[in-house]
Amino acid sequence: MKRIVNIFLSAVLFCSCHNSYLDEYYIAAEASFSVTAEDLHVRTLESVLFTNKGKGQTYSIFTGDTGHKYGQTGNTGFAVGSNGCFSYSYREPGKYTVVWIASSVDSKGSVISDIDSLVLDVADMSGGLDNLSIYKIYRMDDYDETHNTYYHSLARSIDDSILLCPIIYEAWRSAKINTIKSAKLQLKYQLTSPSAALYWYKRETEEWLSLRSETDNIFSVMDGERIALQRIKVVTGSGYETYYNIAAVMIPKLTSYQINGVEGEISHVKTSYDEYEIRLTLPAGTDVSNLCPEFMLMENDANLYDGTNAMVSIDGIVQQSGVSNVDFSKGEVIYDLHYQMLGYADARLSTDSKVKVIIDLQ
Amino acid sequence: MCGHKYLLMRERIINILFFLLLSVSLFAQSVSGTVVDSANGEPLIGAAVVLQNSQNGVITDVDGHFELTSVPDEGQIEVSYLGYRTQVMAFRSEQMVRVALVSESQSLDEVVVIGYGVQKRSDLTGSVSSVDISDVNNIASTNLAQALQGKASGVEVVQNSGAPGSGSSIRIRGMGTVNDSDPLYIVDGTPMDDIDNISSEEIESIEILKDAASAAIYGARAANGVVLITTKDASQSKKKFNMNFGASTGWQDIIKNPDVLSASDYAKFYDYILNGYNYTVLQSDGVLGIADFQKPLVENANDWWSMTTRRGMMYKANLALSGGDKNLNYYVSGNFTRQDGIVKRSDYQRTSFTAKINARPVKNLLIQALANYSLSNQTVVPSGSSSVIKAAQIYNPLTTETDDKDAWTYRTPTELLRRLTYEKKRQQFRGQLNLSWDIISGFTFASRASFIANNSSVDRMQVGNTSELVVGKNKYTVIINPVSSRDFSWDNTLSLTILDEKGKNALTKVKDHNLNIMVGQVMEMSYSDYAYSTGYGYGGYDKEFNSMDFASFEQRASSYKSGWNALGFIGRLNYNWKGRYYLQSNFRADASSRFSKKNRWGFFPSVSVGWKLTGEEWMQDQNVVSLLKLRAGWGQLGNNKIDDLSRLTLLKYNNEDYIYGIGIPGLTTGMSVTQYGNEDIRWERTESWTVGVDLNLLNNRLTSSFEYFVKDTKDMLLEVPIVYSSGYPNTPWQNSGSVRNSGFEIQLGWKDKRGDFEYEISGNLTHVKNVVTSLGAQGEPIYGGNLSSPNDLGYVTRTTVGLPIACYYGYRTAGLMQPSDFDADGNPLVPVMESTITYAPGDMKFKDINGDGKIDENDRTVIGSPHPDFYYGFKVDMKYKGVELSMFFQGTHGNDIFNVMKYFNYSYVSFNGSNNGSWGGEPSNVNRDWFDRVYRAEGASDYRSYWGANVDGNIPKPSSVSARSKDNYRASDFYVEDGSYFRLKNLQLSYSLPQKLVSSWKMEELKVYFSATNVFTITHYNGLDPETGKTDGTEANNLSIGIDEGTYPQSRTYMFGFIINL
Amino acid sequence: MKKSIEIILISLVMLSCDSYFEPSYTGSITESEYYDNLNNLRFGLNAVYNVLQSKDYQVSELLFGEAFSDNMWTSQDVTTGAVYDVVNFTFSTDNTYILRRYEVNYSGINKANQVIRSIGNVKKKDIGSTQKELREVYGQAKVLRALFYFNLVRTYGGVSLQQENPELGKLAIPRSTEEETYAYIEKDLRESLLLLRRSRYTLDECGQIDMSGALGLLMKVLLYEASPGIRTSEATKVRKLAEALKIGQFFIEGSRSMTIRELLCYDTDYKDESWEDLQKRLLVDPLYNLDSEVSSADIVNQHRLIDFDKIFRLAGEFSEESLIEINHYSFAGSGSSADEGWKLYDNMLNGGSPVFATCSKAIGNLMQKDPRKVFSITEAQNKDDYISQEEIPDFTKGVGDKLLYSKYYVFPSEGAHSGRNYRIMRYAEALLIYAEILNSTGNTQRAVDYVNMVRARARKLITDSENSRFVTNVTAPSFADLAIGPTDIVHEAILQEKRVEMCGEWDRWYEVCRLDRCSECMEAQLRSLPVEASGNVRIRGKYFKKGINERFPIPQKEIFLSNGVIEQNPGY
Repeated sequence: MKRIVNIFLSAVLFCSCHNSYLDEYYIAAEASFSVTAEDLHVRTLESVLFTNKGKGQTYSIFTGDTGHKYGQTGNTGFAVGSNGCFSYSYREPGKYTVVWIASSVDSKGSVISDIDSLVLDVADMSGGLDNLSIYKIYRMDDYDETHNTYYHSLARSIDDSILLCPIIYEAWRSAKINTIKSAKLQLKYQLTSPSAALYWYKRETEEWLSLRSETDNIFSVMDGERIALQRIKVVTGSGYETYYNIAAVMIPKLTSYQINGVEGEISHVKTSYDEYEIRLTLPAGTDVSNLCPEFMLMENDANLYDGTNAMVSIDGIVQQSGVSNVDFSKGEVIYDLHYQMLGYADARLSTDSKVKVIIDLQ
Repeated sequence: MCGHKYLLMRERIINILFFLLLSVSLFAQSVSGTVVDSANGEPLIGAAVVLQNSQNGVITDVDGHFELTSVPDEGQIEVSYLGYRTQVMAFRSEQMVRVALVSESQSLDEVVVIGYGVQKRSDLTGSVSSVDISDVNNIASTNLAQALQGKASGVEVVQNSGAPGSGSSIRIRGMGTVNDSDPLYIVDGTPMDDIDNISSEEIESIEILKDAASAAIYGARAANGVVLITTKDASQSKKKFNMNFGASTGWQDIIKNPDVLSASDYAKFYDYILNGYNYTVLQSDGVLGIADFQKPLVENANDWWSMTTRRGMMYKANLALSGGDKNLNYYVSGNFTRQDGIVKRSDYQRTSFTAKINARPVKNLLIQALANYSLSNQTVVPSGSSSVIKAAQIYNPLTTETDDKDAWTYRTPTELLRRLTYEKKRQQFRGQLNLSWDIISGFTFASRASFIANNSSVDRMQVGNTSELVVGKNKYTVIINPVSSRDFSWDNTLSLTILDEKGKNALTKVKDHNLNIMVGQVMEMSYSDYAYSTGYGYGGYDKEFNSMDFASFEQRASSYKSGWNALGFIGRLNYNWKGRYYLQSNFRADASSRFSKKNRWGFFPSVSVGWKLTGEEWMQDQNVVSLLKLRAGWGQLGNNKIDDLSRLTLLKYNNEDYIYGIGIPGLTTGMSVTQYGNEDIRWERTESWTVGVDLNLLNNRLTSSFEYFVKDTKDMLLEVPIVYSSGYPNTPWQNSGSVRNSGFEIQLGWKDKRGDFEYEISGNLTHVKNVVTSLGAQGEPIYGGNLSSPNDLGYVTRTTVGLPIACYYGYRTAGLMQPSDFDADGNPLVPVMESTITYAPGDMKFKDINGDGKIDENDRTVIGSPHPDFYYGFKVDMKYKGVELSMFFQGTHGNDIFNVMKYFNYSYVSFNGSNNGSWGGEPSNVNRDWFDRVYRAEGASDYRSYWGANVDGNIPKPSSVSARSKDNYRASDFYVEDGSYFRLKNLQLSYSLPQKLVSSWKMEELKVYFSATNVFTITHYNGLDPETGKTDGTEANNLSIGIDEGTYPQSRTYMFGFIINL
Repeated sequence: MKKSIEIILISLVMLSCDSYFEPSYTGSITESEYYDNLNNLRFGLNAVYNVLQSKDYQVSELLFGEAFSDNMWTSQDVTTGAVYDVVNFTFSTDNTYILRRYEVNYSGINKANQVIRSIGNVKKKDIGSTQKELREVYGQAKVLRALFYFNLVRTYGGVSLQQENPELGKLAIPRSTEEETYAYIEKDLRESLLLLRRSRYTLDECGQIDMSGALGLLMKVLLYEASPGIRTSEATKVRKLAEALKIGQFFIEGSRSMTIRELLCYDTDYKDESWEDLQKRLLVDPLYNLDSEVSSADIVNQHRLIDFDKIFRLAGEFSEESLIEINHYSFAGSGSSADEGWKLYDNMLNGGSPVFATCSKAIGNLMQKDPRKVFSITEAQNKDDYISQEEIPDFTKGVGDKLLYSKYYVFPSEGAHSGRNYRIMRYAEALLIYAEILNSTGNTQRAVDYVNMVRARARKLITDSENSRFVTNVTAPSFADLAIGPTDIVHEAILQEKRVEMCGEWDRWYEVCRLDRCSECMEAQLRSLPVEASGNVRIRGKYFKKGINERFPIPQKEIFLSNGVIEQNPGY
């Protein structure tokens, strides 16, 4: 019975042709697309716009990075919006084959598709460094008796390849608590590109060692007994290298100060790293207008101070220990200390500090 | 009264006897004469000349001469000839008689209603289809619109559902807009939006204005075509008293029963799903049988379909009393119809009364008054996804109707029916006054005013739980939703007619020129009042609880009024030169309150030309071509079917309250704009042009017309999506879409008479191609047909540029996954949907349309179209001496149907479609061929392997994880089926008793008839009924058509009736 | 019959004039007719507050404010879906939660604009003495609009600034820069200072924002504009820091009063508006002029720190510590169908929610020796933290580090869960903001003093833990004050104090973003991923793209619908 029905139906109904409206809607698929990267070079994390130039009913794109490689089982592509545009950015550098698929469904329901592809060269050019600091240099017990506050030296960039890290003198002097002389320090830094890594040039072994932020405690600023410029480099996933110098410069400190045999009491201003206070009490009746203080800068440590690379002055006038006279009659006097990294001619590798001397009379 | 009838009968018998005696004695004389064609005087060969009321007849010889012997000295002879109108002539014996028969083609000059006036059919230049009233009357349907199906080319009518009283959706020359595309109905000049309350017996004539050239006179509301309906009146009556009484009764039967598993097969199916022995047992002879302890349950399982369906009786009666003459006549009619649906409890009843009085106090002044009242009451059985009809088809047969404590089992089909109260009442009063005054001959002023009052109300009570034993728990919800509307319309026209000498009532007579100019003003005012209140209560089941006083919990009520006013000016020029060259131009300017001040006025011109070649001299001397006319028309129309206030920015209460203070805070209301209007919206504009040829041959025995049309809808009103940063709560309407419908219509008819045997074959065929040409700047697609349950298929129709409106939208399946589609450790090699559940052979495989290696939203594409490539209808009428047989065939071809029932017929879900993959609750019944279509892997050894491997099955294997079976049954071409069908829509056999006998009973006509509708249907579609319109409640929504969610199927009706005219 | 004649006559009259084409309707009303009196403007303002009450708004603040910061793990970290994609930065530009955040805030802006543009057409005659209330409604609408834009700019960067009078044709507006968006927010807040009520709202009027709320939010916005992570120029950062200091001195210390000129920064920001126009626009009392002083006396002592364990309890609603607080109340069972309840309870403290947020071990360890811990975080197991009938149900079986934020938990004795108010800003946060401003402008000592005010309040918990109605004992023996130290050390200490004080209040990720430490925060999470009981592995922080994901993408649909007018953030 069913067969008779079919025969009759098709005879009467001029052969059941498939839906005619689909024929007109069908556009032969032809894949072609453009990309907004001139000569196909693009940087990591830079957004790239792929625009459809071909014909078809729907489009999809395989960007070629992990998980989206055309033809690999389990890999998937992305659907392209109905306005024919798709924007994307690559995390990792490398050469990616981008595959564009245009497809249409003909009136018999079978999918006809066409493929166009190009190779995109993604380079990671940004070897930049963000907020580098020499981390956990010295535990500042005088500030926090619970022993968990450390001094970190935040790097200040002198120019785009030199980073100056001021170090407080206490970190040099007290050998026993991981000072910079002996302890293995670590760097804390952020790299602008995810695929980059940082290496430190260890002079002794003349090799570049990888230095992971807040984990590898192998960094040192010393070269033998002296502080020396340290070279680091940032290498990106695509091998692009950027070099930096780290200059660890001590913040100058008067380590001893005496007038007329009376030793001054030196203390650190709590709220800052480059301000000190010295207090002395002199016997009543001392003529404070013309005193001749004797002081020592950073214990005249030969590894820091060779007599020329530091300057102690008041209101711009150089002071010499035991030679210059100072008038204390108008109250406290402020010494300006200027220190330049030993052994380097570049005047920019320098730090300053202020010492306020207050004299009380008994 | 009956006493009087008896007297009448006796008197009549005496007359007959006297008359017979008289005729016998006078036979000796004879009469002779010639029969000629009145138009060109040619003798008619073979014309039949018969002495009235006798068998004594003769035919004319080669030069049209005849001689009739043995006739009384005077009497009447009846002369008839095919293609000519039969004529009755008085004669006196021995006297030459010259008979001039008027040719049928003259009948072509019958008058056709064309809106604000009439016109001769042969003068038409626009495409106007007339529907033969006799065809309409014998369709046993309560709904007039349904009776138009297939009767006129270019008119696609789809019956929304088989439920009694359900409407039809009509599309004239394709679907013009995504919004409401139902045509405008004009009943005796009064514009109306639906004609559900008008019965077919009251109709005098129906014309359908299909193209812009003919419909432009109705301008702003005619974009979807105009249906002109004229109701009967007594203006042609000759006698003081005419009576027309017709009655018929019959019944409806189900055409096709669901093809589901028998109870014992269902038991096996149940065990198959649970993959273990519950109902069945493996008998010793290796055959799977029903376990003994289950046998009683399986034997008296319930056949839910037959328990919820029935044979539905139908009754129709129509009485019309009319009388009077041209100057004063009356027409009073009453009509009653009642139809019980094939699903229990569903019924429809309508009674209507009409009273008309036409009076001519003065020779040139005609006053017509009309009053019509109709009351309809429909008991609705909800159809669609969670309804009785669907449940009856697939409910689990092994469930008992009442449980052991004799309480009704929840949600069985019979229980659903039992607690149903859903009444729709509708009253309509229509009052109308017409006045036409021929100031001087040929210069007439006509005025028409009408007032329509509609009151409809829904009265619904849904009773939750079933058991009366548990009082207090059985919750019921009461919904009351009264809607009333008042429409007033008033139009005045002045028309000036100048005619060639032959025409009558013309202002002046000018040689060869015929001109009619009409100008007028139209006005409409309409306002409506909506109210809705609901609440729920507890306590019982009785109908007394059906009141808001009881349903006091969470009572919510809302009410609002709305309205629109319109004003327009119309003008028409009709000119023809010597009946050969025709020109008609309409113009209409319309303003509506639905548009803001700057877009208020819309201008709708139209022009059409015609050339009647048969009017030319060089065509006169041949008589093969009786009519050849070329015509072409262009015009613009408007459509203002948007809601009244969409141009305004409005605030509504949307419970955005806030509270102040601590402890028990003070509640204060919050209000904000809920609808941003658009001041710039204007009319949806439809521009259409048509080219047509009318060709009648062989003395109008062969009638034909061919038309090609293009109909462009521009400025379609769309809710064009706007940026989210606007923060708008709604998307305002904008004019920005466009749709093109183009196609051709063919109408062919052959009518001939061989002696007493008259036959006619006529039909029409229409091809319409519907394409959306633009959807606004971004062309954002519009989604529709949101099927939330079952299996939340989501949006299954999408309207995009380049495709017809509301195409079906979903995935394309590629068979089922085979073992070869998996690698060694079971990972799928083919693209699949992202899912945490592992795939296995037997799951549905979908095509990766955009090639991105995975199946997701972007792989959904167009999978079918609800629009037919072409639709057709043709009738075969045969009449032999009073016996008349007419058969009417109708069908569509090329349309698809989205068969949601297939989800239930081939998956294993519980009744309400929730996926009981985890075998909770019993699965609903499935189709008979389920076992041999479901996939079974090779070499299985579980319970299911009893049926053996079925590797190339196309139904996914049942999975115990509901998420997996949900993915398998996503909206895809699995549901799309070819919906073409060919149907003998109606067959009518009628017998009119011979005139002689009838007139002896003082009657003019007595006819008895038998008619059957939906006699047989040929289709590939395996749902219940290929004609799926729209589920109730979504009638105006053009975005979800052709979706079969278990709609109420149509039925086969058998009607017996008689018509008496005296 | 009579009726139809009557209709004919009416229509004849109306034919000529336009009123014929104005249809009569009920059930809705046009905007111009509605907003012509003060009462309806108040109802318009209520609709704006209602957006802040909505679940969409609060889930979006929870998700984008803290859910993927180092303070929280969510159960959605390991279940695929839209929330999974947001917290793991594997989202595509058409993620539904990114779109919903964009939608709900712009919907609030649209409703606030309705109130602001209708202030002008309130009929003069019926304002009379209530000019004061009209100003308050106007001021609150401005603060709320500023808050919505602040939410948008913190997530998407610069966004389109909608017109107050939108036109259908010109809805797609190009995005302003981040600096311009912040300037717009700042201008709204400064202008609201002249409009809002100076004193706190009485107990039966509270639920509204007063001048202190606006000042707190303004100080926070100024600090954002001065922060490294926000794309403003260096010069702007310095200027904003100075202005933030002035506002802090005015609002917190009360040590200076400010002229209207200073409050509005009139000289720099009002190049194109004369004082007369401004006075008319902001309904300023005619007796004021640019140089009249706004004294800080009646502002400074409006707010103080209350007991920490009372802030989030019913007793602490609208306390002196609350600057901006949204009112919720559960009408369940009282017959009224108003739903003013707090719908987020299910999200915060029970498994079945779009974003089920639990506390991370990182913040748990940080508060190990902090008395506030037991009032902010609870170990689900140790029931003995709470007096018997008040213990917190055990939800966190399998999620993250099995810790739970208990601030928004309602103890059984406190009634319905949904009566909980939503705190947007507290006085403690204002103090810590001011402390950071002081430290950054060299006043490290005063900065440390303010931090120690907050710590002193916390220390009180140790002494009077016996009479706390909910907690058995507070185990925090030594809880020292913050010692003065170098500015960068004090800076870190202030930030950590804010992280501890404000944990679980949906602000952590915004802090991390403004401090430009997003990738650092993500790397920290990558190193400490807890494994789920279900064995699913977390990938939090693995796919964070530094330099791109600090700002979320504008929803793809918005870009498409704006036809190119609105551009996408770089990298998407």
